Amino acid sequence: MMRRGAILLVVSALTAIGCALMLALLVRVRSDGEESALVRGDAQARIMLIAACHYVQEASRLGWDDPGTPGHEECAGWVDARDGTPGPKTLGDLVAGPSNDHPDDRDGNRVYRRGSARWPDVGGVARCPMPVWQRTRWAVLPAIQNPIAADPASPEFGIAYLANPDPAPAADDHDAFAAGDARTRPGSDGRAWFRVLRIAPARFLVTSGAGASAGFRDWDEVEAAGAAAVFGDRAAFGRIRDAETRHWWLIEWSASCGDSYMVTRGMRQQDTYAWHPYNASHEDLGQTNYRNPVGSIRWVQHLDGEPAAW
Amino acid sequence: MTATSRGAFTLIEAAIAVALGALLVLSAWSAVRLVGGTVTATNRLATENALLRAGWFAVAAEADGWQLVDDPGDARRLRLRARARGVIGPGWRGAPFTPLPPNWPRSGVPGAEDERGFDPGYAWPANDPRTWFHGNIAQQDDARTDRRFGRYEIFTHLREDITLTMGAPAYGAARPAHTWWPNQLEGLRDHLGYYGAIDYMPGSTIWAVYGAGANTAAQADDDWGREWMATSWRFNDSSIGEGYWLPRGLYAHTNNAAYAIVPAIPDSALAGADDAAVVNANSATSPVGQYATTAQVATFAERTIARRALLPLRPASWPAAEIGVQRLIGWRRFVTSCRIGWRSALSGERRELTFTMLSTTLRGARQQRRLSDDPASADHDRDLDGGRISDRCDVRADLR
Repeated sequence: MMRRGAILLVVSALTAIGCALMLALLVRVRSDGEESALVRGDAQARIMLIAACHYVQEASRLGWDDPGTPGHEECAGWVDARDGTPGPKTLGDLVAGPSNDHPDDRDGNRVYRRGSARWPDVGGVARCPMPVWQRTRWAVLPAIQNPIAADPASPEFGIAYLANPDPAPAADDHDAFAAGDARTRPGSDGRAWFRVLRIAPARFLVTSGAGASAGFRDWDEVEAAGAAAVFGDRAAFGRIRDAETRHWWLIEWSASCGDSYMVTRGMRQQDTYAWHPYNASHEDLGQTNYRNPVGSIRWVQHLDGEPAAW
Repeated sequence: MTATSRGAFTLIEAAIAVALGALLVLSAWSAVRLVGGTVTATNRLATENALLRAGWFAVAAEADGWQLVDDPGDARRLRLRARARGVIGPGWRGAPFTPLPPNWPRSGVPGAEDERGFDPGYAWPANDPRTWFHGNIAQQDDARTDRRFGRYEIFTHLREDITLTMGAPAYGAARPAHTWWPNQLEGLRDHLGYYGAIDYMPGSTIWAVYGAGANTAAQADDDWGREWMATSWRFNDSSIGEGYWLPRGLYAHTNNAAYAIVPAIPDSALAGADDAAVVNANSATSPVGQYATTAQVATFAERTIARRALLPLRPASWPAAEIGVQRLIGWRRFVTSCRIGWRSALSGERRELTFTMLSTTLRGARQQRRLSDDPASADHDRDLDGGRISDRCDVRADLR
């Protein structure tokens, strides 16, 4: 009996040591995981700055088309390229008057209403959750449509044929190709967002975030948007907000796109702030005749802390 | 024969038991050593991963704050605010963080052609004729054109009163209509260097002006400014085989060469250099494209990166980690190239992660800094461009 008791003690002690080691390992792994999540969140929030810059650039001209009209309404920039007044305003003749406004769009509405303080007016906010769609609008397949035969025995060996349309649409019919598939991909919902406060005709305060708040600033804003059911209650939203990574930036849009030299060379690479390695050899690959009709981001300033309004 | 119980082992049993016991002990010892080694390796990897994570935040903070190359709290890191005279022309030249208001004061009528100095609140709207390039983009230098398409010097020029002497008959005295844009271009170049001028000017800028400014070598009023276009001298990169004088956009200047921020900090190539050398290095183009040699690219990479140790005081068994940020303009792209490197304390093996990041631009970094650190000074609320800091995030519909 004495010997059996000793064995029990030894086994218990070893088990306790093993459990302690396992617990320490789990704590360490959890700690590493939490730190890695912070890195991932920070990177995700920074990617959202790029998305916000693209949004500001494109919204200077595009995205105002009324699908119910045969035409395609476009605008002339955040600072109207025709007269320097705040935009975006639809293309067309100027309307004489003290506000120097532009005509209504084809639906009878004005894209931009000065003094409303609602997006896209100065003082307005655009809130943009960024789940990933199953398939974006006008998506094309990433596959190579016309591979060059690599078999030396093939009569087509080494010859580039344009036998199939390239690129190929990712949807079978045109309507689906145009509409995309707006269902969110699993795991991409509630991961990242950005919001843009227009503080001057060409200046924007961007908040980029990684987390599940969908870019709502506070609970009052959630309730005003009718989204309370998404988060449950104020406390739950507060916990989500506190766990997020956020960055604040000032950016300035410019109607300037790029230089004319590239146009004369048939290569239109006119984006101003696109970050690439300085010896990137892939620059000349792919489609070269793309254009930038939506301006550029002239400068970016990271803010050290949370501004009073965003 | 009857069975009897024994009270001891036989010699053979004892020998086998001892051998098995020894084998068991050896196995256990090996297992302990293996586990110990695994724990050590795991800890080392965990430490490296932790340093990588710390490196990410450190390098991202540097990309956003530019503290390595300009730190108001560290006098050794303020060299990019230098000015020097006679570096290229007879006048003063600055570096990327040289404050503008005291060195390039505002004058003239705001919004008019005679306005001088930099207006940080002006967004350069596309409808304003001041922001347009009025020169002849197809005009080569004086020696190669008879100006059959006209004398564009009378439309745009650095100087307000000019005398055109070339051609027969000579045009004579003229008062160009547009002088604001050329003076903005030259002023930004003179006070911020090449990278700074490109950062501040719009993306569609044509890098050419008629005439010579006060900070450049004298020349006739009929000529294009030599510094912008003279073949392979200062701003113009001619390695693409198009070295003739012609107004060009940024791509043509950067598809085989690059403009960079050249730091002047401890452990950099410009450590200990005088102001003239700092200013000169930040007003230069460097070959990095297909015509550049390996040595030229390596020299460029070494001169333009700003590095610091991640943990200057570290345990001897920890990896030596460092971060670095390099800023340049190549292929008409602004590049913020970030590095996180570490060297194993045991093997000495060095690894590095390199990636690019969208972050604070030079102008954004200058807007983060105060013109004066004295809270009692009126300049305490001004940034290096003269812009007001306290109301920068306020909603202002009147700002153009």
